[in-house]
Amino acid sequence: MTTRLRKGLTGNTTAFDDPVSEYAEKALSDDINQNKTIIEQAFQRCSDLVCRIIRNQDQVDKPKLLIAYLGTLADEPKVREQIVIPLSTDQRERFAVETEAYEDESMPAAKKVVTSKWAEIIRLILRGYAAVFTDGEDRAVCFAVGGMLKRSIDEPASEPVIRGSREGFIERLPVNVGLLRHYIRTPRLKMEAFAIGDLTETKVLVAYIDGLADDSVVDQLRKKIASIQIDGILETGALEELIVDDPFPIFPLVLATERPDAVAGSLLEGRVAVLVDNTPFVLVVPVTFWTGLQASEDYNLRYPVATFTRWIRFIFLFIAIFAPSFFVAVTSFHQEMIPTSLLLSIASAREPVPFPVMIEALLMEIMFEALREAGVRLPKTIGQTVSIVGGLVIGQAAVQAGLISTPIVIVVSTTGIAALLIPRFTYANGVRLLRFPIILLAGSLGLYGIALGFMGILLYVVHLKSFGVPYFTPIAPFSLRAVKDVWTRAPRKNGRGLSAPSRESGVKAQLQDGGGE
Amino acid sequence: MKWGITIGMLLVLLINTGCWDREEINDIGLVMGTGLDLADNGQIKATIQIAVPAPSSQTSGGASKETEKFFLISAVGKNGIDLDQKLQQKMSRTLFFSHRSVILIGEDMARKGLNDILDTFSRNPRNRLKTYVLVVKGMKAEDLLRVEYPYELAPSEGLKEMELLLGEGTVVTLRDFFIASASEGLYPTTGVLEPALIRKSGKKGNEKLFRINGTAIFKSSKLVGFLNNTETHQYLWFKKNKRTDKIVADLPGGKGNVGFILTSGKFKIKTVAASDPLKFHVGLKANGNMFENNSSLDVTDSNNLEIIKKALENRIKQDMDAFLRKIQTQYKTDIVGFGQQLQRDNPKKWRTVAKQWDRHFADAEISVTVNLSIQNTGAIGPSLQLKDKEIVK
Repeated sequence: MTTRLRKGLTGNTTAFDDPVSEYAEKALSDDINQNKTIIEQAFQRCSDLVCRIIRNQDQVDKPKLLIAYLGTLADEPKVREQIVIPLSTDQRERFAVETEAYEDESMPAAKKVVTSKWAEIIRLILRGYAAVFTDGEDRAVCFAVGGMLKRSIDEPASEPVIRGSREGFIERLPVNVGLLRHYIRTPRLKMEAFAIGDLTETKVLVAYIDGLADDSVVDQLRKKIASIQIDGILETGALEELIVDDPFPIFPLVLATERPDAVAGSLLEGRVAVLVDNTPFVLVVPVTFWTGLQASEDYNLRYPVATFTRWIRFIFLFIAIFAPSFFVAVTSFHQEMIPTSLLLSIASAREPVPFPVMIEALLMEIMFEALREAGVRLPKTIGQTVSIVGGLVIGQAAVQAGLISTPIVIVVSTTGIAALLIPRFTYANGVRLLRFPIILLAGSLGLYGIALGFMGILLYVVHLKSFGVPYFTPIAPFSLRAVKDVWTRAPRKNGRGLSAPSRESGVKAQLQDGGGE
Repeated sequence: MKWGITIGMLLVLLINTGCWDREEINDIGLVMGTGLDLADNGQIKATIQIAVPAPSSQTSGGASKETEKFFLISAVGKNGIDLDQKLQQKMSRTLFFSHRSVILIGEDMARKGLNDILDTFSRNPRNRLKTYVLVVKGMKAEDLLRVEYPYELAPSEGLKEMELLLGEGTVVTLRDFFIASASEGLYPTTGVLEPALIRKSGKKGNEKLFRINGTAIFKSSKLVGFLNNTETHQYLWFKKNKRTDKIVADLPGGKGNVGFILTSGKFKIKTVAASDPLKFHVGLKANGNMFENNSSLDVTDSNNLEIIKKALENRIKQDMDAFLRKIQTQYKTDIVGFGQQLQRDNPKKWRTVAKQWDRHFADAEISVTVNLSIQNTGAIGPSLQLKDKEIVK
């Protein structure tokens, strides 16, 4: 979309040209005025470019230093205290020394880069550096003076817990890395940096624990990320689509989470995390189907409780997919299955309804999804209106008007609740989507259709692979030791690592069995 | 494009092959019960009871008039399919037999024989073999279906629930009937319904209701006779392991009477080998609680308890003897399954008597022993109203 727009505006036909490529070959001149012209040319019509010139007191006409930075990215007090003041008061022409021999003797700035390439200078300026040019010098010193625009660390909105950390990732990558480092204090926690997007230059980090993570997974990730050619990515969603090759992704093959503790746990289990700048979501690979049914809080609760909760989720996963279709199938094909008195009360409720039960179910499901979607996008101030209107319209008025029957209201609302029980919302979305084809199957073929649909889902799910790991691990292929973390939340034992269950879950073993692609 | 064609073809498959037996709940007429009577021309008159799903109270809003809970339609026909067709012609909804809970057979019809109609009940997959079969005595099956039963939505449901109260009557499903009918040395029975009067509150006069009373005995799908209530209770010893029964016995010497509730009972039939006439021995074993003691006996005393026990055992033995005598001499029909037992115990002997089993059965000598154990007599010993000196210790 952006690519096409850009093409239209500039007439530029190459899709992904390097925006600073025209400067790539240019070297710095030692004439400070010439440098100034070039930099102003590069940042043409960028109103936030700041060029400050420091002159010698005795030679007013001849500029001594040029400081160039973007006012919107750089922190003005930092520029003044760390660059302007030291440089303008220094008698020993310290800047020159800096660029030459004594690179260790640092200015107060936190980070600096010495370079003579225009392309690099421009990139650095765009990252919040201030470039300092010296007259008679063909190299520039760039100091990191970027201020960080960030919000405070809040509780993650999409994954709240009762017992567990209240910290969530925020939109700034360094903060997120810091949060992770707070959890895992070992140099074995590696962070490999990439920049994706020709225009956005988005920072992407691949984080893993050396020795725990599977090398082939890390390798695959590296290759895939390096091969991405795009003008920009704004969120992990784009990256997810680019690194996963599933033509029809109903279930997510990566886990997106806002919780540092979840990511830290995954890293300890030998998974690999992908952090992207400007988003609080972090991707974790590889994942299995069961990841979607495991909340991070499970590991903070006592194991019988957590196991019970997991079983409730299993049951409601089935309800979320099959409840409306089962109702449709049974009431329109297999009435003999319903206990007589229940059948009579369903028949009474349906007596005034003009539609076939399948249409009724589809109607209500779509209405429910519409309400849900409206609820997500809703400004908080009118939230109540929608819930009242939705509740009244769907719950009561529609039944009284004879448009739908009460049993279908019960079925649809149960289904709605069931989908909310799935802790990872990306999985829940897939489940919600599957409901509709299954209703159609149930409405045309009855329970046989449901059985067909179930087989279809099962076939689809077992064929998936997340970075070489079969999606249904450890059920298929089966691994008794790892299945403990699926069917139950296995109690912890002293002396056994957190990483033990999942690493044996075949993340490694299965790969050696030829699962690796 | 390829995908488009694939999906299109799948859709065609779904639409053209699916839905063929789809039927909305509101397009089926729920048959709750069937009554079979003998028509005047000798054919079968079938009456079916169809439930009317009452519109839910929410939709009608306000004063809902009392709607009929069910209605009846009848047709006269030659056999099951004929009847089905004629009944369907009177209905706007497809007749749906899967929820039928009872099949009532009028006495006339039962005496004539059920062979013309039984097959369709087992061959048509929409019929349940769990349907209860009952013979209606003293009234037409059609009239009994017309009775409005106060509890359940349809009287057939009430009948079903009545049947489920095990121990109060003979409970026979189609399946049991077929099994007994096809077995060697065993004859089928069904429960019997009789009209009974009841006074409903707020209404003048008596209304007809029904009660389960007795057992009907069939021989080659023809009704041959009835057992009364007491005999039925004896018969039930052999139906399954006895679940419950209430036994009243007079104590010897006019000392009063006791009431006993049986909680479990077992029977055992022993065949005495190669005797002529055949000899059988019936052993009955039961547990239960004494719930009534209208005598001055203190039941905490084991001697007194022994007296009560003897009285109860005698009572059961007498009734059992009477029952066995009746089926042996009056009906000559082995509904208990002595023949079946003989076949198991002594197949050789069975083969010699099988052809004339009815005669052999009528001549057989059957002895009965009863072994009762009273497990609980309540927390009080003698009755509370008795003075100390009146109590027999």
